[in-house]
Amino acid sequence: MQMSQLFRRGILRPVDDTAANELSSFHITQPILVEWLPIPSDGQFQLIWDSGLFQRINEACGLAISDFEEVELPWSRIRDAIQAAQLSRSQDPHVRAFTVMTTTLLERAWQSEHSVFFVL
Amino acid sequence: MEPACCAAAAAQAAAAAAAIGELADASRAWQNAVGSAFVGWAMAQAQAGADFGIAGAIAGATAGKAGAAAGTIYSAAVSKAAGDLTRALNAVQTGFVDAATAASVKATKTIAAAETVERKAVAKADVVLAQDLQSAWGTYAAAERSAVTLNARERATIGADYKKEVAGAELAAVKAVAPARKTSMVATAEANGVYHVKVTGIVADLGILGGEIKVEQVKASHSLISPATLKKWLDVLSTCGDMTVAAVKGLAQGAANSPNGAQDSFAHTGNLFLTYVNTVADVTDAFVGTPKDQRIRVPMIPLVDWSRGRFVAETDSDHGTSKTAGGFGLGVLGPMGYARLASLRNLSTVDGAGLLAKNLATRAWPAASVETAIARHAGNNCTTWLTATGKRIFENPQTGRQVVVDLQGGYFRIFQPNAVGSSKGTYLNMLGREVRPARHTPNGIQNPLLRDLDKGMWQQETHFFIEEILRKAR
Repeated sequence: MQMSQLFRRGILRPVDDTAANELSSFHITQPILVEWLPIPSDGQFQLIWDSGLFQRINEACGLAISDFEEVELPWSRIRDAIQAAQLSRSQDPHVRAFTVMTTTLLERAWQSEHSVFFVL
Repeated sequence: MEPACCAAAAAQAAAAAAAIGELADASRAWQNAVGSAFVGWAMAQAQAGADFGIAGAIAGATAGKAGAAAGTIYSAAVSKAAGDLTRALNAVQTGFVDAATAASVKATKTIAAAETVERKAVAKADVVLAQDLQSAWGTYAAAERSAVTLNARERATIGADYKKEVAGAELAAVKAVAPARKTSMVATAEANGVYHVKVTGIVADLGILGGEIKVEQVKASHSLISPATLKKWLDVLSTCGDMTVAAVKGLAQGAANSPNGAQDSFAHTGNLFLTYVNTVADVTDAFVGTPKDQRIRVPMIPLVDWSRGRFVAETDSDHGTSKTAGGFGLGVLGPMGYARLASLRNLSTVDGAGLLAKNLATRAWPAASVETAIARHAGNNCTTWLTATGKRIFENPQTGRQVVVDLQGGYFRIFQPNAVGSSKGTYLNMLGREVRPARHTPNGIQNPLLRDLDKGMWQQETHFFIEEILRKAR
């Protein structure tokens, strides 16, 4: 099953090595433990995109995070992504909350030494 | 003479002595009696003890004999019981061992028999399977050979017919183009004049353009945008109170770029047709032997970049992206709000041409026709819109299937939602199937999971470079 069938749209952090291996192939074939930060609606995605959060991460990590794309943020670039996310400022409370949760998720991924996956 | 008192005293003394004598006698008699009695008691006691001892000895001996006899009996009984138990246990154990041995032997025989039957069955099944496979493979191979041969014949026939039809059509087109060309050029010149006058009028009315626009080679009745629509659109946008002058200028630049992009598209389409006509003419002239100085060729429509830097300064890539996106999406630009346009302005910070170049250099995606994909998957009645990231979606209203076009990246994907309107879904290949391409393996042609091949394969099989753009770039 493709990752987009289960987790679109949102940000994923594998909890263990099994989940990390599964997600890195962009296909899910068995039950796995993940931490999922969903983006429930197109409207919220629009607000988050307009805040520039993903664009900053793209710029800092050399990625192409975008809608209708699945992108792996490797563990080695997570510190750069955290710094980029912390620079993001938004007046919208939902976007601010999402940014904080994204930063928390990235911190946990850094500690557990796993990649992070953007399924947008 | 003695006194009376002395006599009395003497009498008393004598009486006392007599009394003492009597007392002594009595005491001796008592002592004798007591002594005699004690001896008798002692003798009786001794006799009794002797009797008791004898009796006890007799009784003890008797009891000892009885105990010894009882103990012997008990030991014998216990010994006998133990012997019985051992024998009984031995008997049971022997019976168990015999039964177990018999059961084991039986089971071994049964299993051996069953395994033999099974092996025979498996062997038979293998033989049948091998025969079936061989037969099926033979049938398949024969059918495939037949189908390939048939297909080759059909294609040859169709190709011949097609070539005949095309040759006929091309000849007719060449004949038809010559008189039509003159009429068309006259009509175009007239239309350009009318369009130029109208646009100049709008420019004057708006008073913000600060100069004239020279529009060339554009039909007045352009199907995508008309001067009236342009004026109406700018009027509506200019009523947005919170927009800055720079934003208005940016929008005006986008508005100018869009018809310019559409003009380019029109010109490219026209040139494509004219190239085709001229090629046919080449072939025809060569065939009929027309002298070179008498050959007629249709001139190409020039590309005029009249919108560049009209209102705001632009880089080459921004201008190119704006023109292409504008021309491509002009039909839906009007209803877009300021926020959506603001998000598009964010996009202008990305070098669109650079992104396409980077993708071409680093991705091994196949190229495919986006027009074919839209026609095949989104259909003729598709709904289209622009996402926050600048991607254009063409959605089939019946199936919900979407063709997602990223003009900046120069590629597209095909997305089938789990249900109409759902954000979750599957990315498909050009045939509309979930991606599991056939691969040559040491065991023949198979459909392995992409995950077992290469992680990049997944991206490769669900992304397609836009063939039309690549063709244009060559």
